[in-house]
Amino acid sequence: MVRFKNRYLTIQISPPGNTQCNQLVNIHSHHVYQAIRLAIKSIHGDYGLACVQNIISVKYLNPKTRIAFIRVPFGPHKLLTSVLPVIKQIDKLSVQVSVLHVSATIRQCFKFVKDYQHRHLEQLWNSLSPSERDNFKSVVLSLDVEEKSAPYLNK
Amino acid sequence: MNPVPYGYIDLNADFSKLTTKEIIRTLNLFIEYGYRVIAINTFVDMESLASQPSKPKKKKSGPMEDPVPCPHTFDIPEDISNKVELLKRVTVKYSEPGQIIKLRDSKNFKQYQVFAVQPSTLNAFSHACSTLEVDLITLSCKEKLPFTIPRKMYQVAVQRGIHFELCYADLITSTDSRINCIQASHSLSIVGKSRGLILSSGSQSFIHIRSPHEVQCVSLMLGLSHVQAKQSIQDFPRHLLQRAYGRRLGKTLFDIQTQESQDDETMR
Repeated sequence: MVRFKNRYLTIQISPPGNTQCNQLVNIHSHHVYQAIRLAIKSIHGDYGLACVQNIISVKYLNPKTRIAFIRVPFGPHKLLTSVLPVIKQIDKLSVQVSVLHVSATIRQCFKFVKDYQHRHLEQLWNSLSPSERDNFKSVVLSLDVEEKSAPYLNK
Repeated sequence: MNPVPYGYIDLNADFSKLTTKEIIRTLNLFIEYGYRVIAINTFVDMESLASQPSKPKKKKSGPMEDPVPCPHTFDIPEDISNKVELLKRVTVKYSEPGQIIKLRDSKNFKQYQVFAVQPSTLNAFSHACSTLEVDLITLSCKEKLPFTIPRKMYQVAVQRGIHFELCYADLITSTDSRINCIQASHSLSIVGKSRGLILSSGSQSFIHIRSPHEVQCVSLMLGLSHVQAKQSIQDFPRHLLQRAYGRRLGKTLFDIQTQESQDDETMR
């Protein structure tokens, strides 16, 4: 028996302008789902919607790091990756969606996010004074943080 | 049993709302596209019959009403009926296994050659797959499928030789039914590589009839391979008709029929 394959997309939802990072707090996973549904209907029509609609789900959404995981069936996942850059709005908030990574398991997604945060920290490292460094390290690498330090989390 | 004539087979045509003139036009179109056997559908909703049992209980005296209506008969000119074989098919929609037991006593039921069911709950679906003597399981695409198809039940049904049916008229009529139809066929291909899938017209007028080659092209969209697309129109319906004949006979080794042919008369 052949296993039913999935693909997990790691996406980043970025509102325009750095100062508005915290606006994403009001967004929930069903808002993302609805936005994807509308976009895929307008681009790939009935066929695209029928392929994806039942199985797709938003597995993880972190409003602070602005990273979300989406599960798609293997095969139609190319329909979805072609649609995601076109999404303009999620729940009346104008956003820009970019695909960071495509992987086969959700574990690989978390691995990728960890590496991604590391890379971001390395870029910041030189511009920081030694006293700030430890503080920043804990802020960037822990994925659930206070609102105050959210703007420094990632790009 | 007379051999099934060579040609394409359409297992679901609904003539109940058509006038005689339109029926003849529809049949001519079928012949033009190369269909040789057409099964005319009669739909029975056991769910709605079961939901109003209070009235007949009060009138105990009258004879039991037959749940299945008589098969439709059409007066069709001979030049058309020579080219096409018309079969009678009954589709029963039911939600609980108990509802289908009434059919055993029905006299009209025995006149139908093809017996199809349309289960509307998971319980009914697994009953149809595992125990019911049935030829065909129809998945209705008018509404969303009310249950997810269990993998094991699907495999049991395929091993028993039961076929599954989708109607390509649903792909044409409206957006919702199109989405439901594609979803249902994709879920079949996920569950068991869409084995034993039959595509039939399900048409209520001649506008929705397509030629078999066009249907093969469309069915690639439903997740079928080229071979499966051909089988779903040609081989499986043929196999189904032979199996349905066997089901009506019960357990038999062979079947003897007298044939009145010209040779007999010359022998005398």
